[in-house]
Amino acid sequence: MTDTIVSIRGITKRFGSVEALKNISIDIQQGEIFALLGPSGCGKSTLLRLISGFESPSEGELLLDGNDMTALPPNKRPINMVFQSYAVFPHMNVEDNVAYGLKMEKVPAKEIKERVAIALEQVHLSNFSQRKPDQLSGGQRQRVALARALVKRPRVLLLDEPLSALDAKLRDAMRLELVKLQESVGVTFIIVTHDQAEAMAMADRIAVLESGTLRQVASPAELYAHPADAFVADFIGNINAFDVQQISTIDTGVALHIDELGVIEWFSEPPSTISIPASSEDKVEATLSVRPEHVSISTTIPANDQVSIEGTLGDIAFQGQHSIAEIRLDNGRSISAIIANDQALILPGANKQLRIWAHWSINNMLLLPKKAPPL
Amino acid sequence: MQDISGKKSVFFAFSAPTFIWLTLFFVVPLGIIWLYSFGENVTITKIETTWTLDNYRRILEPEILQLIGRSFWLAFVSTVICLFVGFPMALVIATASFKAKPWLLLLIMLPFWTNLLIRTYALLNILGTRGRLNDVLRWLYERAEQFQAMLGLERLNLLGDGFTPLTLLGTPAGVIYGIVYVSLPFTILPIYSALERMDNSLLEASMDLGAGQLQTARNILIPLAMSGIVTAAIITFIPALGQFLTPDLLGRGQVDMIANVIERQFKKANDWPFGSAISLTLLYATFILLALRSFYDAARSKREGRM
Amino acid sequence: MFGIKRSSNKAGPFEYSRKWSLRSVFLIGSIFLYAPIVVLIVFSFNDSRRGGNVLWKGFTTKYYGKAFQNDELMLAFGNSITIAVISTIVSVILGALTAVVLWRFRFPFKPLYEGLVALPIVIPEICMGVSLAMFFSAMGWLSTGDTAWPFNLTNIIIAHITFSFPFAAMVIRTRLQSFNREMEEAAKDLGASEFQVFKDILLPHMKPGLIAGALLAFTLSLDDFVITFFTSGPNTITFPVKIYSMVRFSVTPEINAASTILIIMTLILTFVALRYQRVDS
Repeated sequence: MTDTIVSIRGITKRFGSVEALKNISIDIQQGEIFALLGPSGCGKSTLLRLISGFESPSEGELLLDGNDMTALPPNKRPINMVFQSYAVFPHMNVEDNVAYGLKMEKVPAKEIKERVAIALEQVHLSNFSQRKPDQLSGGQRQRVALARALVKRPRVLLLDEPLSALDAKLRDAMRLELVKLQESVGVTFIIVTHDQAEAMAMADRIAVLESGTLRQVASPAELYAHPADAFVADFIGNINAFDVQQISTIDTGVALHIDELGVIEWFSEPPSTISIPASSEDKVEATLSVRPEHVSISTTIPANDQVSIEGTLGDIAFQGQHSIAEIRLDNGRSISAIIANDQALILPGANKQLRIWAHWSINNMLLLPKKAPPL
Repeated sequence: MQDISGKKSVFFAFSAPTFIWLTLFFVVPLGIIWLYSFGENVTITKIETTWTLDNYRRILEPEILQLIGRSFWLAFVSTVICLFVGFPMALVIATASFKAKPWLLLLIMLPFWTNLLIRTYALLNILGTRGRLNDVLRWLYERAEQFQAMLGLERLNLLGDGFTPLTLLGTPAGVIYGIVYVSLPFTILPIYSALERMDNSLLEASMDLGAGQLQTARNILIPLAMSGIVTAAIITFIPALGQFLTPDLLGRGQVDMIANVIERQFKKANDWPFGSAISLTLLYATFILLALRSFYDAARSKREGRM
Repeated sequence: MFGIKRSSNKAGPFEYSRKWSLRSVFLIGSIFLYAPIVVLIVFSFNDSRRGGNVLWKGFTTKYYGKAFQNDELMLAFGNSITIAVISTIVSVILGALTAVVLWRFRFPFKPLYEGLVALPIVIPEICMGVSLAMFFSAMGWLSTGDTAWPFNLTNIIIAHITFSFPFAAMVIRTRLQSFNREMEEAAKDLGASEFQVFKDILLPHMKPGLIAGALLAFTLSLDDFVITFFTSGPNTITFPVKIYSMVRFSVTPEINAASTILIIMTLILTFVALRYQRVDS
């Protein structure tokens, strides 16, 4: 593709004998918000530090606009970072903080003044230019860090867990503001986060990492609808997963043998990442899942075209716009369903041992390998 | 924290011993030499306080003034050397791995726990004209000579006519060496604790914004460690100024400092009033330095908006 | 296909402890600090009577024997230990009281009190030495050594307590600052009296601070030369004062041997302290 800005090619990073990143290749497009998502310790921060230049890869290379920048030190890369702790210099006021990077570039004083003023305007801090960092709130300090990085007009802006240090309410507002800011300046953002909701809300594309391997790169909608495997599906939202014991080929597709649901006929090709074993004795590494928002509950036996399972109604947790009902299956497991509040209100409490059916359409189910081979 | 009201008996029981002790054995003794400094010898051990200023006037005599100036100069040079050596050493400890850090700290602290007199005495063996330092220098000289011969450059005679051992004992250089030797751990610790508290991402942010190593050190690392550096400078300078043993043993009476003159007045010349006056001058100098330090702190916290 | 090997062992930009230039400064600095002590210990085994510090004449341990047979040196050593033990006990008690007062109470003139306690730490020791010497002389408490042991050492002990208890107070106060006042409130809530709270809650919490303060006071006392030099009499000398007069007289391997004994004692003391701290934390 012509508008690739950062190209990560076959990057492996070892710390001693530990492999923090294993052969990662990603192309990041000009002007997009790209999220690196994964649980803590998955290697996403290491990858960000490699792009910024604070770590050097054990193997592989990094291209910026098609040119190798692997050996460039951080101060020579046209890439800037908003640190997780913001790293606002405590001994300089807001203005000096923002001007610092331009002074290092030896930009003329007059131009520095103008550009700093514009940058502060962009992050709504014009009235705070003479303040010291310890006179600012956490959110304001983050804006200083943002302005300080953006004023350098970087090719790429890196944001390390940009919202994790803010309180819940501010976080939502800032999420929106970051997206707006990105739209107005047009700089490519690479965001590291462990919060899937944050990544889904902000990013154009998301790379899901797990223990140093890349599991999937896709848009939020794609990731949600077609996760590569059970790990990604579970990490992006919640799922109710059922282990597939056996798969056998039938005329119209495959038959899935599942302890809890019986035999389910799957009328299409299973994903290529699932191997259908030759013998029925072999273990199948696949799950059939349904998201809680697709599960309905009823006190009567549901229609035949629905996949259903019988159980006892457990706790109902009120969530605001909706409620989450727990269904206790007879084998001791529980699955969850998102139900409307008015339905939740007429249902009796958990101690009433009400027998119910959880049911959903087969079209809402995901047939996934337990673990897809890393990209 | 609580007010003493209602707990008066507990408060007095706890605070009185210290107060009485310090008054009796610290304030009163200082008061005595303060009175003596305005006194005159009546007999050899009897001093009458006549409120004369002669003792202070004598400090202004060129000989004493020069000696005070030299003390300040020696203490200053030693402090500067300590800071230049101590800062990188503190930096190494502060950024060492979690495992190595306590051992490196111990390495620096152990000499500090060793007796000051013994450490100063140990330097006699190092600094003599036939001492170990000159052995090392001679060895280096001979290697350099061989190297010169190897390159066939003897005729240029770059190294002079042979090795002349350094004379350190009895010279200011030797005294400075000694002061640096006994003070270095004191310099390292405050700088270390300032660097230890520093957030590494501040340094990374600086570099990310385009600053090189040296620019980052100058703009971020050193300014943020400044309070530790100032503490280190004061904590090194004050004892250095009052050094007695180093000039006494390593200076061999050639490089006396203030404390040596004071000692002479009390132990040999028996001129207690004059000795008291110099002691108090040294004390006042200490107070001025401490006051400067708190002014610095106040100005700094005001500048940073932390009132 | 992108398998370009790159070394990941290169030091990061701010891993100062991995930079060879800084490492060599550290190494040279450490050699600078240790070489004199090592040379002193090595030369304590030098078989040379005169100018024992210049030339190596072979290995011997006879100067240790000589040091141990030197009655004056051993007396001075005994004095030093006696002074250190007594002044440590008093310093810890005074230091603990001071620390509790400064930590616990708010009272008028507190900054003054605090400053007064900190003063002995900061003023030049020669000033303290001469002022105490003048004080003892004015009081007529001269260290003649006529009184019975350990009262002949009273002056030196007083001097040592005066300069070491503020250090002990500082260490103990630091420890107290980590005390969670809710523990005290919890104890009171469970029915403990003020005194029981002190004995059962506060004192156990202070213990590591008390031990650290004691070790510091002990080392400071053993270490002191200048103040002792002014407050000791002709017959009440301490180990450092004795060594000083020996050094002034002539440099012999015997001094090296005696010094080595003291260095090893300090080493053992330090390691005991470290071991204790480790067990405690």
